[in-house]
Amino acid sequence: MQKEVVVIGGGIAGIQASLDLANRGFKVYLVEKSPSIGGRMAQLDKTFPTMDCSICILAPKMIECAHNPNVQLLTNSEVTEAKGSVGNFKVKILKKPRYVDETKCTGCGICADNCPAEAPNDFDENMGIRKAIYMPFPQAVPRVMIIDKDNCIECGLCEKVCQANAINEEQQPEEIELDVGAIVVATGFDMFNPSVIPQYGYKRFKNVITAMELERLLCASGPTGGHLVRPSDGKIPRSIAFIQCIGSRDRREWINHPYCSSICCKYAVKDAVLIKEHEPNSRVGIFYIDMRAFGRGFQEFVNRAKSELGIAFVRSNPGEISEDQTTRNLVVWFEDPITRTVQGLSFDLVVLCPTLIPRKGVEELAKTLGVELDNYGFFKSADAVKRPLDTTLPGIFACGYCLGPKTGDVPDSITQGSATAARVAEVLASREVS
Amino acid sequence: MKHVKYAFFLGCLIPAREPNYENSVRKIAPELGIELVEMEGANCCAPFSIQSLDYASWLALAARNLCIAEEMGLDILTLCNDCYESLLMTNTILKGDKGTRKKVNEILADVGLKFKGKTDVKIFSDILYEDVGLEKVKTAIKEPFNGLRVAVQPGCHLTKPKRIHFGERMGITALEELVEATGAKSIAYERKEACCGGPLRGVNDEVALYVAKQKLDGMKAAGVDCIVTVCPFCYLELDMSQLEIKRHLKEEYNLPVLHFAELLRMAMGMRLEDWEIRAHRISVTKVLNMKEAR
Amino acid sequence: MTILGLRSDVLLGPLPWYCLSCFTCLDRCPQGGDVGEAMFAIRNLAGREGNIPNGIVVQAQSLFETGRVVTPSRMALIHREKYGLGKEPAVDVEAVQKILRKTSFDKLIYKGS
Repeated sequence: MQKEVVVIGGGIAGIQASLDLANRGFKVYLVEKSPSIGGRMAQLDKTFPTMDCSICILAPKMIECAHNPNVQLLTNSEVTEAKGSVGNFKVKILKKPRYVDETKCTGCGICADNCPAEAPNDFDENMGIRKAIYMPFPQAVPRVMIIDKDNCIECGLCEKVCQANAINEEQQPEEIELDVGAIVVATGFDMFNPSVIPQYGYKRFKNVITAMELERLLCASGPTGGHLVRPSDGKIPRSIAFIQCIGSRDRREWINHPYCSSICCKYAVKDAVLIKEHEPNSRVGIFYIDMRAFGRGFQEFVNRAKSELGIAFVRSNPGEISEDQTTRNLVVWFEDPITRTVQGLSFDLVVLCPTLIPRKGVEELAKTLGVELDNYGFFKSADAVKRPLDTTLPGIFACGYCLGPKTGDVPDSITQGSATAARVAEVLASREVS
Repeated sequence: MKHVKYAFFLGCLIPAREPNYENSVRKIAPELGIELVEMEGANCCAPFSIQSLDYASWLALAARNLCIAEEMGLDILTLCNDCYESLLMTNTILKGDKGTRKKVNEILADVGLKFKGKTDVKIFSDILYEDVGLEKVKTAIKEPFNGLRVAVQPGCHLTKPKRIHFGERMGITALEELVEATGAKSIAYERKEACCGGPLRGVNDEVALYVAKQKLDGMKAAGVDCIVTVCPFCYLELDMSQLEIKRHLKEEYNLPVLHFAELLRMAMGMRLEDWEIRAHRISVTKVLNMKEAR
Repeated sequence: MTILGLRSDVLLGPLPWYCLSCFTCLDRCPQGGDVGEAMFAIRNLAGREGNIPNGIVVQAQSLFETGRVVTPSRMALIHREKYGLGKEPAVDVEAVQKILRKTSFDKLIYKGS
């Protein structure tokens, strides 16, 4: 039995699993598709219930991953093959080139300052610009630049200004072969694209944004430096609407996400409270079907939002959003649940809370690993009740949102990460073949 | 040139009120390689009014037309959104639901027909986009419009209900790309996908007019030169309503309504005849003049 | 409303005939609910209770008698003949009537038949 583990996915769940396993003496290879670990939590502004800055909680764990002698980070990498069985997996990993030498780069950023080529910033949900050579985000781990060859114009300026001589235009993809005892999947989630529901105007109306885009606007490291301004004119929005259940609890055939995503009510109320506390004179409304305020402190939080902060909770799923072509303000059309009439309320900004779906590429990964997905694309548990963290293949485990919307928020992902680590340790330490 | 042949389903409204639409289609079809074969004895598709009265009657009448096309061994080409909805829905229901198919075939047996599910129903704009192909249509454009601002009225039944119309590619996008192929520009306006009010014309004129006005207001606000329709109901409704609104509310829109086939025909270098020009209640002279002065 | 016991209010009132059958409701309902289809069913029932607007009756009777819900206007016929569109396509009225008699459509639209 190998005492080494591959963890696929460097989000909070994967990070927690990696640290727990590393501290138990297992050697962990943390494989992350993007150039930095951190995942979705790194993109958030503040987390419920403590309203702590998200990256402030996450970054110490990310740094621990970097420094823990038992954790090896393989970022910008993907698993291409996995053969074998529990205790003896042969895993092939493709490390894609950054064109920057990880051992030399200090992350100083002089190259980016001088780079003339720009591209949309994926981390900022394409709302901001980054250079062709860039640091994925300010707190990235590893703190190494990466060149996006699709947008690089090959001017060579970065190489000229780099004082660490870290640019390596010739860097080749690296194939790494590992012998491990177990694999942990922690690939997390994507946000459903609301363009599929055209009547909400996403992408047609500039001031209709998704919740993740809002997080980036609120976040100090985001494209507006943490100032909540609206996309069309950069003005501060004085009225904001949140619309829940965009695509979730939806049984229409072409959408097919009938489940509830679990955390949207939570983060919407969190964001609404944040905005109202920041701008007490603003008008904030949440349009919902059900306010799913379960667990510790959440219902109390909702009550406070209603009574103390004056946030309007409107029990109505809006039918349509229209735009005023001159002001770019939006009108949310809904049935007022009290008067039973159709109303249109004007807002400066509308935030859509879309359903959370499996990450793109998860089908291929499942095939590579030989594990099953459920019909929504989430990783299937070997037994939904008794062994929720085992996948359908013994020796491969999962944690976090990739298992489906039964997980809730950050504490839940951390819990699952630890639980999966314990499960892996149990299986590898004993002679048990599950 | 790909030769496409269809059973030509004219419906009732076009022969009844809009022979100019039929004329334009017949003029442009041969230029685009479309062969239209008459459907002998075909009856009314059984639109909204009939569907609302009796489901069985609707299915049987619509199925009779499908059977005629089946015997011809051809797919159906429709020009009208309502015919499209009626025939396509019937086709979908009868192909998928064995029980209903059996009941309908029992009725059809009386007239010696049996639904076998061998034909498909398509609307003219989709046929141009898919079967003829956008590229081929583009090569047929001889006198493009120079940025004519068009409010495209797709009509409800072009794309709704979504579950029987396949994907987003056809439908509105196809129609808009075809309009833009003529050199016109499809302008975004509020409530583009909303109903024109047509189905209730003659049934509940108050509602029909109210709905039409909302559409016209949106189009006017967007600053368009004219309206282009696929469905003859939309054509009639948007054309007539402007006169009624002018009479009762003293508000003018001056938005000529053109059939999509007429737009194409003019862009292909053909002239509308006098009687066709006069068939539009809101004068289309403005559009014709824009084309001359390029 | 029907569930609340207001069945006759629904079926005998004007509401069923306000529907445009645009199917927007059907597309938008997140439960995949067949609202639009239900409206047709409601109108079918309303019709059986005698609640049919005159405009619909006119179309239905035209359909039974000529096989078309609307027949060509005089102007349309003149244009056809004058400008080479040929004769108006003929409908097999007998077949239509056979079908509509079988479904008792005629009983629905002709009072006292």
